[in-house]
Amino acid sequence: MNRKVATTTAILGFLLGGAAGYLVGSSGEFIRRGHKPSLEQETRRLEVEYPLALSRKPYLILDLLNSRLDYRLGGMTIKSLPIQIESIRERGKKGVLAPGRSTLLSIEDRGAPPEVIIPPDPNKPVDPLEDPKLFPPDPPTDFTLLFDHPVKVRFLGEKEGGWKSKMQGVGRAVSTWLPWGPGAGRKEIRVQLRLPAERAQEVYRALYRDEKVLVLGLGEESLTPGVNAK
Amino acid sequence: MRRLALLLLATLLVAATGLSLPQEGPPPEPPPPSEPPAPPPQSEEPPAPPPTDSQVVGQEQQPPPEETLPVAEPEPPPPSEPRAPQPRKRPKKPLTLEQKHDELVKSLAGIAPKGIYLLIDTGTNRLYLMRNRCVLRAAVCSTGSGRFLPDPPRNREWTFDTPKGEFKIRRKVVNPVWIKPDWAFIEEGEPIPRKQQDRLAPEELGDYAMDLGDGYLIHGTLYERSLGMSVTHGCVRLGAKDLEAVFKSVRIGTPVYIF
Repeated sequence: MNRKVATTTAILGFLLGGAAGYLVGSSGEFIRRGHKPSLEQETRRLEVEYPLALSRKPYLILDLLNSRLDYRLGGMTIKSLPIQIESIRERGKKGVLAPGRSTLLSIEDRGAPPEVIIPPDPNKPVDPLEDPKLFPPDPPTDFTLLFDHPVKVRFLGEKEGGWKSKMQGVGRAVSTWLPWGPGAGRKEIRVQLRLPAERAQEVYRALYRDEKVLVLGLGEESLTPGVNAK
Repeated sequence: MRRLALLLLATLLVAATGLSLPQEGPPPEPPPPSEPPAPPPQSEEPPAPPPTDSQVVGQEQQPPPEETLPVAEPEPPPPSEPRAPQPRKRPKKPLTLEQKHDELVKSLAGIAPKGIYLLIDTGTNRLYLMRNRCVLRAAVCSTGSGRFLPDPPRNREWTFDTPKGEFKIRRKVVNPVWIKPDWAFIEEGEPIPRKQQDRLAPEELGDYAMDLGDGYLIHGTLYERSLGMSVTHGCVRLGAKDLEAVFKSVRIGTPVYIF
């Protein structure tokens, strides 16, 4: 009987903790808006960014230290989106932010396969309101980016105010604490980011294969020396 | 005789000492006076080196030479020291962190797009006509749907993405006529025509088109209600008014950045 009570209490406590963590911002420890890099860190970042800027192609800076995703072109920020870090797992363990660390990655896949066009049946007229040519289906709000190095970044788009998404958020907050939670036992770094659903779709649309992403502040332990820009 | 002897003696003495001769030849002497002006600068220079060092004498001399004041202001007391070694040391000494940082910032600022250019955000389906960092005009556009069309019988496939990166306007066309490619018919489930005439779609692209290369265009549309959505086959569609404004603002060679 005592065991049952203890187990139930533990589970309840776990769930309540998860809920509290989610509501407070499950990863409050990762929120470091206004982080000012030292001159050395900033110089190092600029050194890594310089060749990207020279390429004349748009690139991304995923600034984990300041919780934002910057679109850059020729060293100029053309768009900046706020993000929230939900979790960082390094090879199954809880990850840390490392100020001064910058990692250059290249996108290999944006996670969701493209929608396949099925030519309409000439005998069946298409309802204009359902014509995908005029009204395409929405892009995914939950997708995971794969890179040329063992790093995965998941974007979780949430519709604000929905009880369902809140429950899902609590579930995720709890699961990140579990030893078998997301990224557990894996051989890669997993970063989970939360942002409004529309923003996630916006990010998804603009991504392209081989796009360069400079990640600032990704943990130290899990990166191979070759990957580090340091 | 005595006089003669005296004269002889005198001349001999003069010859020996050379005293009286200068008096005789004053005309040839003028050249030497021209030489003396040269020495004065020599004599002026030596006083300069003395204020070199640490001697606080320089400060005491404040009233006469005004030049010393600015030299005194910069704190390093031995200004002469860095001057000489600097050119030699520069290649050896790496830049300080601050210098390196400033140089990188400058270099990056130099790379940033300048002048008139177009910025196309495929995430929000917006086109911006830019000058340097200023938005001259913002327009709602449509970009690639990202959808995939296979053509198994002919072993072909297309992904309708708007390409990202830097492009340039290669051609400007008024009243463009679209020659529909194979995918336009496959997508509709229609047979691919054999005649070129059957591929022509004169009004589909609107009044203007700007060629970005590889078959990608910025053009108008018959379906303005779908502006703002990702519905195209890779081209960038604009509303009629925005299209005209953009068309008139850009030139061949104007850069277009798509992200």
